[in-house]
Amino acid sequence: MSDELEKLLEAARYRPLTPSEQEEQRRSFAFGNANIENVRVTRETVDEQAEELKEKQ
Amino acid sequence: MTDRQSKADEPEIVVDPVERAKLEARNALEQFDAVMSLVEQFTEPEHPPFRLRSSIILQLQRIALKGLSAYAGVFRPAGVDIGGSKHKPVDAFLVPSRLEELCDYITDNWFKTTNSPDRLRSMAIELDSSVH
Repeated sequence: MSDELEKLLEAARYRPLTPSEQEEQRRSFAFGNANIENVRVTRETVDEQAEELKEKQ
Repeated sequence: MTDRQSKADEPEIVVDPVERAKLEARNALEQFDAVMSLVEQFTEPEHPPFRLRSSIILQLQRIALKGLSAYAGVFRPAGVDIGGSKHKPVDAFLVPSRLEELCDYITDNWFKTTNSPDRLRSMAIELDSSVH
C-alpha cells in the first residue's frame, strides 16, 4: 500500500460520516453490488428504491 | 386417519425483468442497512469480540436474494456457472465447509491485519469468489 493511500485511510478512519455522506455510501454500495449482477440496475433505480424505502419508514 | 406429511412452501420469485432490477436495488440497500446494524451491535462496549460466522453470511445472502432466488438464506444445492467467466466455483457439497474456513480466516486475521485492511479484504474477496 502506498504511503499516500495509507495516510488517506488513517485520516478516514477517525472522521465521522455526516448523514448525507452515509446515505451516499449506502446508495453507492447498493448500485455497485446490484449492477455487477444485473446491468438493468442503474443509479436511478437505486435512488427510486431508496426514496420508496424512506417513505415506508 | 390421514398420513401426516410435511409440505414446504415455495418462495415467491419475481420474474419480470424491470421488477427484478428494482428488487435487486432494494435488497442491496437493505443489505447495507443490515451490515450497519451488525457493526453497531458488535461495537457496543459490552459486546463480545466480533467473529464472522456462516450464519451472518447466510443472513446477508438472504437479504440480497429474497424474492429473486429460491435459495435465499440457504446454501445452493447444486453446481453453479458464472456467465462470462472461466472460473468454476466449488461443488455444492463443499460450500458449507469452505464458507466456515473463510469465516475463520477472516476472524483469525481480523486484528493481525488492521493496518492493512485492503489485504484482508482482497483475501476475503478471493476466497468468496472461489466458493461462490
